[in-house]
Amino acid sequence: MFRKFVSIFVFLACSVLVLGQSPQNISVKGRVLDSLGETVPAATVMLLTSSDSTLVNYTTTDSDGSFMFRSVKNSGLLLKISHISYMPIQKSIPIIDNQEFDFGNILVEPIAEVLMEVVIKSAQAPLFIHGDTVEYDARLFKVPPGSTVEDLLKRLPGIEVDADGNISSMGKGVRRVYVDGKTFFGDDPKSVTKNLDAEAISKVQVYNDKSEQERLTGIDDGSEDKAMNLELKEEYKKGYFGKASVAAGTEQRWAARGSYNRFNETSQLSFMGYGNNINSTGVNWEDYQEFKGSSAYSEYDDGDFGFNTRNYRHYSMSYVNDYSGKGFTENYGGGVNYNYFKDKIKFNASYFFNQSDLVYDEFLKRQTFLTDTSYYQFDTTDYNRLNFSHSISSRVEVEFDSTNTLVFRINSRVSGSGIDSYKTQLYQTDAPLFSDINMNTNRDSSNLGSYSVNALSIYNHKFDKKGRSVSVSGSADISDNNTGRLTDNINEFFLLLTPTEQIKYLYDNTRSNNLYKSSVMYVEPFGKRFSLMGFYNFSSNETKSGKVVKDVLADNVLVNSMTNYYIHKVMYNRLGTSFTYAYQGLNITLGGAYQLIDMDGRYAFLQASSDYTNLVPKSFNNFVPYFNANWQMPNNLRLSFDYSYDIDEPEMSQLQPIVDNSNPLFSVEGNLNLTPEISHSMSGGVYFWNQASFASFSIHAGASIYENSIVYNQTTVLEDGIGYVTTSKPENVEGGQNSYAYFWGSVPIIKTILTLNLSGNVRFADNPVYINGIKNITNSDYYGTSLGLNLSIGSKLSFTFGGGISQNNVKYSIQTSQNQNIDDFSARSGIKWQIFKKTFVEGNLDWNNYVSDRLDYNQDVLLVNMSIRQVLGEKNRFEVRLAGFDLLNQKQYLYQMAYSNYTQFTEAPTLARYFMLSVAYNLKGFEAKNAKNRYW
Amino acid sequence: MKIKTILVSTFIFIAVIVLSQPNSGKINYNVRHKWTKKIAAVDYMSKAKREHYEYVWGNSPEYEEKSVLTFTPEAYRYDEIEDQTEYVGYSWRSTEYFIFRDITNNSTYDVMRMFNKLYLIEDSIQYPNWKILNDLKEVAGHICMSASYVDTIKNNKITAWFALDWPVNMGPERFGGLPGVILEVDINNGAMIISADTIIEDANVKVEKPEHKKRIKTLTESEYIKLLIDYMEECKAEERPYFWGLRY
Repeated sequence: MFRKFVSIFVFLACSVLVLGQSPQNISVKGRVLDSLGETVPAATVMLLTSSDSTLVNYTTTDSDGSFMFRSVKNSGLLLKISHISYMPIQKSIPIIDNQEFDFGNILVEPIAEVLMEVVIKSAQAPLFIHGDTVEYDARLFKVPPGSTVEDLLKRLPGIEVDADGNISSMGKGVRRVYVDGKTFFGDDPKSVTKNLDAEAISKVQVYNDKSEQERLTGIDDGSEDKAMNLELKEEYKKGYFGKASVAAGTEQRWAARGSYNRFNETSQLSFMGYGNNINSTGVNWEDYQEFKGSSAYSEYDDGDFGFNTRNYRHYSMSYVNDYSGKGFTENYGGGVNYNYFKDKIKFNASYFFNQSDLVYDEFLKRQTFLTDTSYYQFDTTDYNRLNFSHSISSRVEVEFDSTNTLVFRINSRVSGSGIDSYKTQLYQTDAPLFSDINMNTNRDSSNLGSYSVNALSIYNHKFDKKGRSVSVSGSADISDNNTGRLTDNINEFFLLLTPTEQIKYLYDNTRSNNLYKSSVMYVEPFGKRFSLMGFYNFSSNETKSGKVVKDVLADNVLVNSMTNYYIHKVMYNRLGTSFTYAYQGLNITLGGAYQLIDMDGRYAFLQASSDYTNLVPKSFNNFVPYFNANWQMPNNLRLSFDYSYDIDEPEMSQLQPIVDNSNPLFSVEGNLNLTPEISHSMSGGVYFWNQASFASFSIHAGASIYENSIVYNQTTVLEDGIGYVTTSKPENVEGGQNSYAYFWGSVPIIKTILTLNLSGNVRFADNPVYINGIKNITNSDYYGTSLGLNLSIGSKLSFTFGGGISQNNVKYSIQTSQNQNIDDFSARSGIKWQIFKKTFVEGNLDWNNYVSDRLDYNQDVLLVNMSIRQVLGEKNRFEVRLAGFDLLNQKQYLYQMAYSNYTQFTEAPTLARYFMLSVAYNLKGFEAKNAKNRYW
Repeated sequence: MKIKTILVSTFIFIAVIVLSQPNSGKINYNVRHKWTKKIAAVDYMSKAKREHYEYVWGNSPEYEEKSVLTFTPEAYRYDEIEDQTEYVGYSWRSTEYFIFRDITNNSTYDVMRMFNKLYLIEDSIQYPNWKILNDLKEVAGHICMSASYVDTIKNNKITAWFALDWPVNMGPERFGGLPGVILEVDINNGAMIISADTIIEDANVKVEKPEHKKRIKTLTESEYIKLLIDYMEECKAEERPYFWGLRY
């Protein structure tokens, strides 16, 4: 502190001394003339600091080219004169002893016409002038790929290249060519310009060269040679990144993964691979984005124009993690992705393979309510599934010009799976409680092979009139499946002394599907606020299916009642329009469409070649209205509301008069008289974000009311010698509705330190279903709420705390005595702590409690995870992590639900306590700080 | 020699014509936003996140809007225009923003919405310390020279191109203080570019001091800067882009 004080004092003292000698402020004047002695009026004259060219003051020259600054600091400023017709000139103003400094006549040189007219005006290229150097931006002068520097120079205004390759700039010969300031292959300029690739050059600089004699003597001999420097492109847009990690743990756990990306200005190439047995069945969303790069969102191309599109979209993101939480998996995957984008073309191609082997055991308890009784079911399942897929996809987007764009995309997939399951189902009575009725044992093994191809193209044209556009799309989805299945079912009835019944069937199923679609859309604006949109959608879908069933116990004889072939076709036409008002954040759309659905089909038993029976063709036509409004208020409050009228036709398989009774206890039959499901849906929301306090909240509510819904009505009877046998049939049922509302809010209690998060959620549903001919309405009211706190102490330590409660009240009109509550309680806390510069500790604790009064179920799970990681190396490229998962060894899959006329819970063991040590490498280095992921 | 004389005289003649610039009229600007470059320039956020964002989204199209500067010798005003050409059928609310400069009285009357609140900045006109470079280029028919400075609060690198043949101190947004009309501004190497498109002379243009709106918080220039500094501190602590609540 004292030192500082002394230095300031000394500085002040010196300043006073200096000021004592020279005047503080002076006047500066001069007169600007060109090389012919003509005056230069209206030139800009600027005073700049000599240290960093900061603008201090400015003026313009008067009609006789004179200028004058008064009260200029006498501190050695720079004087700069610029004029559109002359090269800028810069002079220093010396520190003087008298009151005025007169530059006298200042001569300026004209800018060569060719530079002004051609470079700046025609090519629109900035011209950089540093002293006597003139610089061209080479990237703005296009040459064909593979061109040499000579070809590039020929395009630069003011530069000429003769037949022999000699270069001249503004009439003066270029004697030397440097590359990044260095001589290249000796002194011959041509060796550079004829050999170097033009694509590598970013800038061309031309300046006056000193002759050899001038260099030696230091005396300007008046020679007017030019030199040229070629600056190579910066490599900043080119690069690579990559990550790799391996991990090993207790319980024979292991994991490995790696990715490598290479990119430059026009392309991205990436590789990725992984394998593990810690239930990561695919990659996470962030890794997926990094793998796909700039084409990560190209999956969202939509050719189904119009409001409220019918979603036939297929997302080929099968390699994103989708583990259900049950059991144990072993997973492998890998692929390559390439993106190319230059000028008006975007291209993507990718391949991915993934495989997952899942093994689980599951226990299920279910209570089913009939009109005046109920029964219990206890299922134990051993399940094993191995599936794999190869996906190849490609997409091209071509912008022919500013008005025409074409997108073409093709996705294809070959996949297969093998499933083995062994399930025992024990049925018990309610009264007397838990008395055995029957035991059904099912052994099932199947193999599935399939392929699918999906091609889509979208063309868009914009007209000269702003906002007017037309879009056309076409697509084809083709898929084919083959399944071979052997099922062995044994039913043992305990109430009577009847023989055990066994069914052993061999299935050979084939199914192929061809879907073709096309859409047209036209948009016409009316003024600045209104627009009209018209669209037409067409689709044609044909499904062919064949099912051959053989009875293994009867020498593989065909099971006539179940062997069948069918073909069904659905044709869909929709013509619609909508009118939109859009201005200053208020958007209102009102629309309507007329839609026509035609269904046709035929089926045959036994043989594919035998006579087909035609189903009665069905045709449904409806008018569908649509309304949507949203309003953005000035203070970031947004309101939205929409209404739609939805018509969903029955599936052809629901219409077929065929009974599927492969399970003797549960059979499904078709219904020829089904009509479409009709519903009204509406939803609205309020969203607010305060950018000053960082507080936000959102409320959203919606409801669907069914005029007519398709419900699987059930008839369940206790059959002697078998057990409870259920027959289910899809039928149209009046009524049914559901509604929901949710709320969430985030309020900073202490800005940037303590934040409170709140949420609430209610859902009400009435679902009708006929049970043994009596209409039951299952009424489900769900209430849930949660509260959480985030506490950040500096950037190194943060905590989270929270908890939630939810209750589901389920009421059955058919048997009110079975009404029940299902409750979930949860509490959680977490810590992230950067203990040392490169050492991080993370831990979290999660408690969940599941309660069902009806099934007498109460289960607690407390999960504790801890990890410590250390970033290593000068560039932070290594990371070592030791993690303990589920330290109390309590993890399992738990799920409880109540629906239709049953309630159930499921338990399945899964990967519980294990410890793992991992080593990771990141080419770019790991960031030695706690990540903040709250916003994005 | 003779040719040279003719050439130079012609130049001077052209220059004099060019220098007779409009006193009153309008300058229409195109404003282009490149979101990935904006994100990439926020140095207080995770570098890995910014690079990820650039890699995935870097190829997405720019967002373009329009603005207009209306000027007379006494005053000028800068406004954004709602333009529906690209997004027919949907409209976002444009946030309140205009810049009014009374040249005669050297005063500002700038209205803008920042982090949800409407503010008025009323003070004398103040300018940054521009550094003048020697680069020339043409913008909307004018030869411009470049000037630059670093906005140390938002950590933005600003490059402006001012007309050498139109010695009037005015520009788009809050930029000014140069020996010529600012016809282009580039923030952070292309993250946002405001570039003059057309210049229309109109002697009948009037720029009057806007009416004071009710319930508006008035700030001096230094209060405005304090507000920015405080907000930037909060954004840095939260590691969120500041331009979600503030103009770029």
